[in-house]
Amino acid sequence: MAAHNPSLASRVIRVLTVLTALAFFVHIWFIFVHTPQAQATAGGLAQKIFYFHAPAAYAMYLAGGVCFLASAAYLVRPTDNRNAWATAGSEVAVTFGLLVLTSGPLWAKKAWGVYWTWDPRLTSLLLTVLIYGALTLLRRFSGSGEAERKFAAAFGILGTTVLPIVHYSVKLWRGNHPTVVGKGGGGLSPVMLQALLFGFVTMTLLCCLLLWLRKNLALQSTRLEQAEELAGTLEL
Amino acid sequence: MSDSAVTDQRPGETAADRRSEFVPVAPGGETSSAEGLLITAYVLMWAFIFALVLSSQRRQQKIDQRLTELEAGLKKLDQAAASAAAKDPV
Repeated sequence: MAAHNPSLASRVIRVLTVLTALAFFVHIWFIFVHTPQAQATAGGLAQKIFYFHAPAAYAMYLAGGVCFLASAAYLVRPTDNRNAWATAGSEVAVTFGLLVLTSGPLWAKKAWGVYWTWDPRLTSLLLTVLIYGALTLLRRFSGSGEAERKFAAAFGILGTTVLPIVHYSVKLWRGNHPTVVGKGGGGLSPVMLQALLFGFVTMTLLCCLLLWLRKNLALQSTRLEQAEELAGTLEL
Repeated sequence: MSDSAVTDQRPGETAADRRSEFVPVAPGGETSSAEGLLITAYVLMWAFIFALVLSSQRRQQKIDQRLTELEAGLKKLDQAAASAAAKDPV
């Protein structure tokens, strides 16, 4: 049975919750009070969606990375803890992926005039969310046997290989999605860049909090299943 | 590429333009309310986060409930074993 320290877990959750709440408060205040409105071609006021749209995409990469590492580690040496981290990684990646997939089209409506276009980045992102969604459903409903866990871990590794395609799709296939930050990108004013960077900090904290919460939940579910098996043998 | 093809390109139509600026897919003046879109995006963001937190809470409650049942069962078993040992000390 996996080692679990409830007091440490609840302390980490409490600290992360306070830090995330503070970061969100400061981030939203900074976006709406200090950050100037972008030009009309970038969506005007709707461009403010960008300050959590891009960080949410980064948080999806982070959660996907956790899913990848935990899945690979599980295949090397299976433990309940590694399986729990892989489960949490895919669940949180779906959440952030949905956040990106809904905020992006709302901004696109103002900047591009349409909610959706089959641009390489949008399409590859949709595919990624579908893969992580399938992985989450697989883990939830296919049972918790060793074979199912290993299959889910392999699926998690393969699913994460799509993430670099999402990231580099803008450079590889040149769709409509612009590169705002980075080489060859449109660029941001210093204040806008600060808001974006703070967005990355905020979403990292939120991602860590959600990962920790879901990891604990997955671990507790496993421990409960093991306790129920034992209870079955004792005829409780 | 012929010279006419190069001169026929309007600003914002090249790959480099699309990479550095927003080029409308459906040109013609977008009239949607930016405030409405911004508010919808924020509401949806919080809805997804709360949905995940609420689902976590519900699963946690189910786990706690089942653990309480198992603990009660174990306690009964322990008491039965203790009374059996008291009746038959050998």
